[in-house]
Amino acid sequence: MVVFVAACSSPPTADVRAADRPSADGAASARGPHTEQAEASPDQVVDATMPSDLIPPPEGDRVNLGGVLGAERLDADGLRKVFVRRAAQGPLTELVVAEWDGAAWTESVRIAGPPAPDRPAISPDGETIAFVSGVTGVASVWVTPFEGGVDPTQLTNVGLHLVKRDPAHPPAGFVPPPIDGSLTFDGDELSWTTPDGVVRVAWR
Amino acid sequence: MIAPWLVVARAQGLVFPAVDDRASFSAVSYPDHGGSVDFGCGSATYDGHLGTDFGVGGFTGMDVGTTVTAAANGVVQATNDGEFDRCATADCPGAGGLGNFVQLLHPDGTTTLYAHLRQWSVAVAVGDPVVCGQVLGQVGSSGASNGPHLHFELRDDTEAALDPFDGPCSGPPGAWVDPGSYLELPGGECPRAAEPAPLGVVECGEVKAARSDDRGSTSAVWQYGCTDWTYSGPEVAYVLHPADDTRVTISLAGTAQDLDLFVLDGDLCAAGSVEPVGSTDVVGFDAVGGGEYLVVVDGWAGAASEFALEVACEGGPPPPPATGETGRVVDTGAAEPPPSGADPRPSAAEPGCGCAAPSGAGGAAVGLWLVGVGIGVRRRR
Repeated sequence: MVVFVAACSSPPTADVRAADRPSADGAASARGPHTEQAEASPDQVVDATMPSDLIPPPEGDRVNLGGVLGAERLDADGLRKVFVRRAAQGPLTELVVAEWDGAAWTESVRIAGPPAPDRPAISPDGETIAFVSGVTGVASVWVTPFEGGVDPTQLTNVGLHLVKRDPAHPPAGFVPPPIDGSLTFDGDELSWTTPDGVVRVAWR
Repeated sequence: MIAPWLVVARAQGLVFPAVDDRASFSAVSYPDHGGSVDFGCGSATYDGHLGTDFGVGGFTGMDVGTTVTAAANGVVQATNDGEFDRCATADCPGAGGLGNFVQLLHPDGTTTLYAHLRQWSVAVAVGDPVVCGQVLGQVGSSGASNGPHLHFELRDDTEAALDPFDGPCSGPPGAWVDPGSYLELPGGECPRAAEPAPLGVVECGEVKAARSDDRGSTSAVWQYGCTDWTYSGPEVAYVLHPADDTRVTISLAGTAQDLDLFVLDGDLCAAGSVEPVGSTDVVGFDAVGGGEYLVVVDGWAGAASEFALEVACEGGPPPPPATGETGRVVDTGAAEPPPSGADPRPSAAEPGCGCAAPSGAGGAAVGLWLVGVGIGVRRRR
């Protein structure tokens, strides 16, 4: 069941680990949203010799700024985490899980290839991860075990396959993906913020 | 110096990825060759940018529906749709920043990417074959974008980014058929077959009820010579073999989107009608007995719709009475949106105009690599 709640809540902040938890990268545990993104701002590039309508953005983007995208999400113990990063080659992303073994983080790529997974979350017990993917052609929320080994399970927009759509007529039954990094495990439900309000979907 | 993350482009023969709406665009940012230097050794780029941004004049340009088309023939490799499309902060999520997008794989192993598309405008699905000039979606501002624009990328078969432009700060060759001048838009025309492959035969006195994007439809022809308008929508064609010399009148009605009607006699456009949506297209021409004519229904600006095609020959059997059926039920949202605002084209019914041969890239065979679509590729005579 999908439940929409009026948009009164503010987006959750990134997970913050206890200060004494070890990390292969000492700064990782205190990262907030977007702190690992490159800081280049397209609209700061100005060349007085260029015609003003060609000064890069206001219509620009950050597509090719690499590294980790968005915040790392950690489980309750801070020993498992999930994040998304730009693939080594190509413009797409890969969803990465990592586990602390007492001395270092061990990473594994859980989801890779087109289209480009993002907005990950991890359950408090560290057993399940959730993410957004448009592998069906529609941006939808999926869950999969942290350990992998099985195909992810689609939670929203099941059966919606979009071809030759019309911007004036969105498909009936569409559940929007998170408009930010707010995908969160809350008991038996996942919740996130959409332009229409907060959505809650049962994930188990 | 060429930045290590950009490799020398291989010739691809790309055309500007908006054949119908090119006038709505302006070049904004090019790929970065290191230190925020573009191919022309200028600064129309920013650090780490690996694509080319083409702006459309803000949300006004986006809201009128500015179409994005395939820069070359290929097959759809990946898509995403459903993402919020009015981002103004450059940090909205969606496919890792791409937002709504389409990625094509081309016969030479390169890929092109069309990102930040408008929500619910993606017009293709993974595995679809596409031809140069085919509508992929509309410009939006989805994903990591701070204003409506098309982010266009070219990559080689190792997924390394290529700069499709060639200039003093970029190694040759470029990838555009017509790169245009520095800071101007590239151009070029898509290679086209001279004629579309016919679905079947139509006879005097017959009414065909179908859809212009039915199985077997193609998007191989976009210029007919009878008109300056281009047709990036799918087309269907039928062969007409009149037994005797006769005056033929063909009408096209019952359309929900802007479809137009053409009759081809070899390389010549024997007749054409380009009435706007809501009107009936009618053409008449004098057919020679034993001749072969191709009756084509094509969509303007990517349009696709059901239609009823009626063929009447003087002295021949009359068409059957109208039954009110005009084809299959249309799925909600399945058809592409009509161009916003009034159709700017003047009515131009030109029976028997004997117009010039269809224009387009001349002479070369079309090396199509299309999966699951039967297209008769013919050299222009």
